[in-house]
Amino acid sequence: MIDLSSYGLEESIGLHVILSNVMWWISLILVIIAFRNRRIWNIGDAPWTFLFLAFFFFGIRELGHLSKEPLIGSIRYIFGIWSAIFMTTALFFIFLILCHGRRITGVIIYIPYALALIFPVIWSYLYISDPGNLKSAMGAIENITWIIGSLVTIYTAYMLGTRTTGDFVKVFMFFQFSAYLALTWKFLGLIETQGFTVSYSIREIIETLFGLFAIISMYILTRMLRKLSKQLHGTYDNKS
Amino acid sequence: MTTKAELYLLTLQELEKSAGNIMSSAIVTRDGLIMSSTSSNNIHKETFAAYGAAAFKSASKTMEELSEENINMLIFESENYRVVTLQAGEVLLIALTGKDIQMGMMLLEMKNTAQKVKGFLA
Repeated sequence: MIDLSSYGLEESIGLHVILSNVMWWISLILVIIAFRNRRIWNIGDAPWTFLFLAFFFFGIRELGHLSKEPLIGSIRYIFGIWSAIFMTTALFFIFLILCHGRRITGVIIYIPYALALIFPVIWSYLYISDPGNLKSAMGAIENITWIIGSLVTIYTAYMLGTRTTGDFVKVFMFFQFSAYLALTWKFLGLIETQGFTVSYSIREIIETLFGLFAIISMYILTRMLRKLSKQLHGTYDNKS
Repeated sequence: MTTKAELYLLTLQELEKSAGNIMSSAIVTRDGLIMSSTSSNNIHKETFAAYGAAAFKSASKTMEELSEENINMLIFESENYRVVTLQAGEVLLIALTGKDIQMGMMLLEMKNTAQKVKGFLA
């Protein structure tokens, strides 16, 4: 039997896993810090919630790397799918608010949750009907979800980046870079399932860069909000 | 002793009282973040601030290219509305007004407000 790991083709636990975990959990902390200053960038509760859930679920997905159990691996993909859904929705809602002046209320808020609930059902169905292919099937679904999500995010981040100014341009620019990398990463994953050989290490480098750009984006947003928050909460002593 | 956020809001309220037909006004950063704004049911504040700051940035670039000078003020109007943006130090003072407002009076009040805001920032 060929030892796939010697060709860098097999999933492995290495530096990229640790790096990826550290980056996504730091990103989540940055989202929480930014959320605390949400009054300054009042885009409503829904986009903030979805942004939080996207980073949180991706963090959990990355934790799943630490186990080699196929069952854990398949559950990990559900969190990846959820992350894709919520990240896409967060950016899409911000796009609707800033580019179209829409208010996010009503049924539209529940659509991503409803969509997210479908995937555990699919997982349960596959678990009962075809447990042997559970991991690869969930992996393929995750690939497709991320590809669709990334394409939408590339568009929304582009629209947002071209309509905002200052540091917001950088925030959306890095988000767009992140989406491009997610698209490449998942596209390579998808073609691999179709029989093309793609080095696992290349995919992991792309995934790590995806996390890196996401963290840069969140860092810029958090820095911007914290800076203004400090300015606004300072007191003014009129000595004249 | 008051916080700067409270001062900004008071300044905007004073501006709206003295200038008349102002539908919405805001103090925003160059990034398009709201420092303070008066309430308006018809306009989404974040959109107002983001577009206001972006428009000023574009106009600023145009002015620099054409005259090699910095922009101080930006005014644009539609059939019924007018948007006036004034630089107040590091931030922008933006007002959406009706077309029937007395422009001279309005500009004077806005300049005074911009001076006050500049003072608070220092």
